[in-house]
Amino acid sequence: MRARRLLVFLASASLLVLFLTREPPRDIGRRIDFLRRYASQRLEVRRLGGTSTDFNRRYFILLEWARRRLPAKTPGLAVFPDAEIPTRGQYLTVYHFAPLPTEVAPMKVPSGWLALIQGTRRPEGWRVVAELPYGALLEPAP
Amino acid sequence: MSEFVPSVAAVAGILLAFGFAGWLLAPAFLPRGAPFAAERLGWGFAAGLALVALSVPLGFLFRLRPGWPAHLLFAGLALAAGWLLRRRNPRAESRPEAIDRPAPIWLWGLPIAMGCALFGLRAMTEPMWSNDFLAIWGLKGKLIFALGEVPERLYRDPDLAFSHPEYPLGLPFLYAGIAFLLGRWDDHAMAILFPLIQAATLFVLAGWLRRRGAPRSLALGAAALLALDERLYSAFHTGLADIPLSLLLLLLATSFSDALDRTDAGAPVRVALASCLIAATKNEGLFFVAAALLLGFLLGRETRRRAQPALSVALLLPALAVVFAHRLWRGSVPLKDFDFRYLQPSLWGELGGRLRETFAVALHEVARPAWPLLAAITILFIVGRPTPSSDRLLALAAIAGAAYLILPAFGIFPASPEFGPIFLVRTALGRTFSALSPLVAAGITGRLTAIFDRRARAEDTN
Repeated sequence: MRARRLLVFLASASLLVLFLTREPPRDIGRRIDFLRRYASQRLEVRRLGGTSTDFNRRYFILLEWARRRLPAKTPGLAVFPDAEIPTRGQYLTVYHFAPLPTEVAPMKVPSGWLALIQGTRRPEGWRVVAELPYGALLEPAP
Repeated sequence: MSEFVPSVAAVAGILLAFGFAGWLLAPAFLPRGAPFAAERLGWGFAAGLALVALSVPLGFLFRLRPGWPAHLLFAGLALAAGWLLRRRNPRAESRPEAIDRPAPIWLWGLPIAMGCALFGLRAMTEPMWSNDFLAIWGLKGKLIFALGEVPERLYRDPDLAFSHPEYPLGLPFLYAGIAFLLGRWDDHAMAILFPLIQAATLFVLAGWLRRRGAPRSLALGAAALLALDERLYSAFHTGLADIPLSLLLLLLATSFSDALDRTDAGAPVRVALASCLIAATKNEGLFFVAAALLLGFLLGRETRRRAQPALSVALLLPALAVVFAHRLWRGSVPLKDFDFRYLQPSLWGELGGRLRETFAVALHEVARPAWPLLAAITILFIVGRPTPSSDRLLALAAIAGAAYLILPAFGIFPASPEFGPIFLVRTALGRTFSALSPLVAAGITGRLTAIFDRRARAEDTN
């Protein structure tokens, strides 16, 4: 019985060490630092500083500017990043604008939708609704 | 901290208020009294979350906009129904004092508090960000909240296929319910849900183990190790369904074991509640219910024949009701990432290859890096004594684990066929296995009771 208890103690202690050493202490410091720096900021700024936007923070700045400038009855939004974005960037885009129907780089922009273009490109047949940091919001030209 | 702290406090207040309502409701399915006190906190919190989530579709159904009036109305109705049921559940007798000298509470309280604080930090660092939160759980919750309905386009729009229309809506309804009560969508403050679920899980784990005879040190030791398990309580899992699922799996398994042993009159009601909640949270919830049903037949066949029909009904009916309600709401939505036609004899050869590929990658990329963990768990299992109440939990975990291991072999990705099973093993296997942690912790620790409890040891030697 004593041997069994000793084995339990050793195995449990191993688990404890495994769990405690799994997370580098610098990660804990980084999290505390993040909270200290960002907790006083608005929700959008906290997201901007976080993991979901680290693939291209300028892209998220454009999304947030566009979200604030979208006309009230916009039926949908087609977003065109200036470079290929990862899948999670597409999810973030759709999530950020929800409940507005949103597509990332569609082959064809559905009728009546606005377009959000990252970068300086301004395609023909589209009229600028608002120039924004890192891009512009456009609507089909009449 | 102008906006963040008040928002977190508000969401925590909402969750704790409904957790309190769930705690008041708990005597309908859990005997009152000291032996059940810790479990009542966990079950009560789960019931409170169910009230927050369920009030959303009920509100839509009865054309009441979800929010405080509707939520309080439905909570009041649930409490009234619970009050009627509570008479069937007599107060539990207090357990005689343990013979073992209990370890000082700080010895285990400290690592438990540390585990909770660390997960709290991981969960609350930034707005919820994991892919599946943005693409599935959070997106659906945000749409339901913003539109005040479950939008049809979730099921019809091919551009939203990534949001997995076939998944149940329990967690999105919970997010939407919190947002309706808060009055806005705050995906950072809502993350507090997850550390609270962790705390509820620890209460259920330690409480159930204590009630089933484990010495306090052992029960709290198990809770401490689970609290520190970063594989489950990670920043990445915050926002996903795996942490809620891990609590619900523990609730289902412990109530199932209680029902087989007929520990109290409320056990079948707890089984029914857990079955309903787990089926509403993830698709595999239905599988767990079926696995418990099978185990019930195999393990309870000889000794508890009379308990079988009631237990089967308690397991099956609520889960089927949830599935049926989803069918009514959204129609039939096939599983998107899996193709079970590989079960046809003509495709067995291909299935064999996929299984080999799945197991090889799982062994090299998931099991091998985790060998110290697996070795420690294996030692604890071998050292323990067969204990029916706990072995059932491990049997359920083993069935779930086998299913999680085999399932990637059926994985298909029409857009990227090159992904196949390997993609699922790499992205999902570790995550899905981690949800089994509370169940494994309860099962393994229950088996160790006999070698740590002096009464059990004394009985052994007599």
